[in-house]
Amino acid sequence: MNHSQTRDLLPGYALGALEVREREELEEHLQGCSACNQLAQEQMEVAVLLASRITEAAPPPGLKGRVEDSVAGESMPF
Amino acid sequence: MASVSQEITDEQLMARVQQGHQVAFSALYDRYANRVYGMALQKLTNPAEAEDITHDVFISVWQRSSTFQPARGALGSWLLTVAHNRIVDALRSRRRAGEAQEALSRDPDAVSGVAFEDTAGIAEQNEEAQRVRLALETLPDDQREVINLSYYEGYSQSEISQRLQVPLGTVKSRMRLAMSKLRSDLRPSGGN
Repeated sequence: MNHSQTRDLLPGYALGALEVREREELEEHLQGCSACNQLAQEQMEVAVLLASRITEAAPPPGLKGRVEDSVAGESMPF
Repeated sequence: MASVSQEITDEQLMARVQQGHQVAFSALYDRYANRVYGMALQKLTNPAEAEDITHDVFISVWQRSSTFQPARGALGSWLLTVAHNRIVDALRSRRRAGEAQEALSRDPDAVSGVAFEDTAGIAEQNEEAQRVRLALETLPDDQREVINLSYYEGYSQSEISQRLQVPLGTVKSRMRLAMSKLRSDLRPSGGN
């Protein structure tokens, strides 16, 4: 994926509107392209504001322990 | 076990997570779990499914923490994008399996109206949410429609193109224009 293709997809990326394969290809490009990554951040910051209209909700109390147990069973994240 | 101060920044917290600091990861969970679970519950409407997705999101954050680069943006943007993508993947998977097909195909014109006016769980929680609502209201209808269908309803660009019976390029163009206007309108006061 080149810069032009990537930038064409950035609004859709931030909005979660890409198909999985498109998103994976775009993320691969973003990992190695700081210029496109900067543009992606700008779009993602707008999307995060859109999330402010979604009501927060407390997850079930047992979920935190479940997540921690899963992480404890994982190798280090690198 | 070492504690993690509430005053530590997101980026400092994530730096510890990247070093495999599980207490820091638990603190990260405390900061974002309500937003992630709320987002999952609003979109999926099924508490058990929302719980599973929230679990998967945080495991994904742990596994992918090394890919987060603070110089490239805020942790919240990165984490909530990871969460949103996971949630819409689940939503589309379920939709494609047919569970939601009947309700969603009943009245295509009604979908965006419902999304904007009455999407379950959307509330004016704070000043920021009100600013966003006002900014959305000032968008042209066709641009607001693609924002609602994508971000709040979880449709892909291709699906929106099919639903609205407009070319994919038109959907992309409307998204680009809408995001540009929202970015301009929602820029913090005092910014450039």
